[in-house]
Amino acid sequence: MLELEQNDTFILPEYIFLQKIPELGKYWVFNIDDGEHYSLNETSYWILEQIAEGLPIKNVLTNFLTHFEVDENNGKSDFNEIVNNFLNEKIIIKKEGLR
Amino acid sequence: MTNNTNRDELYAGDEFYFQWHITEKCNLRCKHCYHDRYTSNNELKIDELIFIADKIDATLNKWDKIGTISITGGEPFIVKEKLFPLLRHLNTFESINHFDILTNGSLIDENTLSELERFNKLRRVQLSLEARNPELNDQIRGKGSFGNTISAIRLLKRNGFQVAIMMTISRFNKDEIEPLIECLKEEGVDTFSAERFIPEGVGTGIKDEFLTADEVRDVFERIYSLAMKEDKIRILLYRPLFALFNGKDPTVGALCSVGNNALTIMHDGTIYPCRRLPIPIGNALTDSLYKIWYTSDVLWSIRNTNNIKGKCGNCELISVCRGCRALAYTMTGDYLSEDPQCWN
Repeated sequence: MLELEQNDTFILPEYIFLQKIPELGKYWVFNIDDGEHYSLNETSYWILEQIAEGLPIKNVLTNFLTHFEVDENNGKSDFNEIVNNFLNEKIIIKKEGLR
Repeated sequence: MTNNTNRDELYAGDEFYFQWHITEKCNLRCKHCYHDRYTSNNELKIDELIFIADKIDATLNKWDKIGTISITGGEPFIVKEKLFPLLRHLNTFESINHFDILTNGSLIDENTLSELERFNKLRRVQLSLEARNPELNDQIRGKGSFGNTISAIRLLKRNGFQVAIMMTISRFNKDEIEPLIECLKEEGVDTFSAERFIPEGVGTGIKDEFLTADEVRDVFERIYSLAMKEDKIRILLYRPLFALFNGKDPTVGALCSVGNNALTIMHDGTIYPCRRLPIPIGNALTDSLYKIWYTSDVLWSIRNTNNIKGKCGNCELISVCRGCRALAYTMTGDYLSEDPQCWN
């Protein structure tokens, strides 16, 4: 698993589309280029929304720990795993030129 | 995170249906028609139709869905030079289980049938009749239409094709269901289905023929009763509201297909959620089907059952019916409003 650089910022590429129906507990991410799609849990979706706002990953992590009230060690590990999954599936990409 | 490529709540069942109007041109002028013109401006060329067909194939493969396609118009046999090459192409796709042709039958002859015989994926040829009474039928579909359709049925049956008959029910012909089905049995027709008349397009000219909810209940009860009898004609009940008779039987009624398992492609590539819900949500030539299916606000607002209003929103059968969104839209301007013909 890739250790995230805390100053990195990630973005959602143009081909990625988020959709949710919170009242039904449904969260999705779609790739409109290749048709791939995923069902997400609320936590993963929340992280994607934060990334989509253009926040540096360290800020997203801080917000994540606060929002879900989890201890830093466990929370950071879960967070890294989720973000790495997004990176592997090309749901997010690193925003180049920003540190 | 879960990869749900195979199936999930975005699609109901294993099938995905396309209704494809390859032309708007028609040699009839039926009074209830949902088209509002027959000029077929910007009609796609055959290479463009093939391009879209390939896109359909790729999409069905990605979604792991079995495709069914109805090719129609206008009158599809008016553009035979495009229809036959397109069918040849569709016939090669493993992703497509079968296709049907929806036609008025007036241009079908022996030569046409010898072409159609080559397509092993052609399931049925669907024609339309509105009444057993020829004069009544022809008042809606035009002079000579009844005789032409019966001739087409006989020709198709003699040559071993499966024939489906569609009836569009309005106040005009609501008493013709039983006699028409008797007639169809005599002719050896394979399936019968009925669609509710929606006053849109040319059909707005006879909007007074629109049935009340009580009239629809009576009509649907009679059709359901006929369908429950063992008979040589199969009466299809895959329409919203039939579930009111037996919501637990999957062959009785069907969830409105909008946002669920179907798209309509028009002659110029415009995509509608359903032919009867004519709100453009993309173009099959320029947009990916993924983009249309995944990002359309219309589709998403209908998929969220919490948005459905009135009696449909409160109905215990919402997961298997949802009412006809197109009818709601035509009658109220709001595709989320209740089905105005529901009697529940």
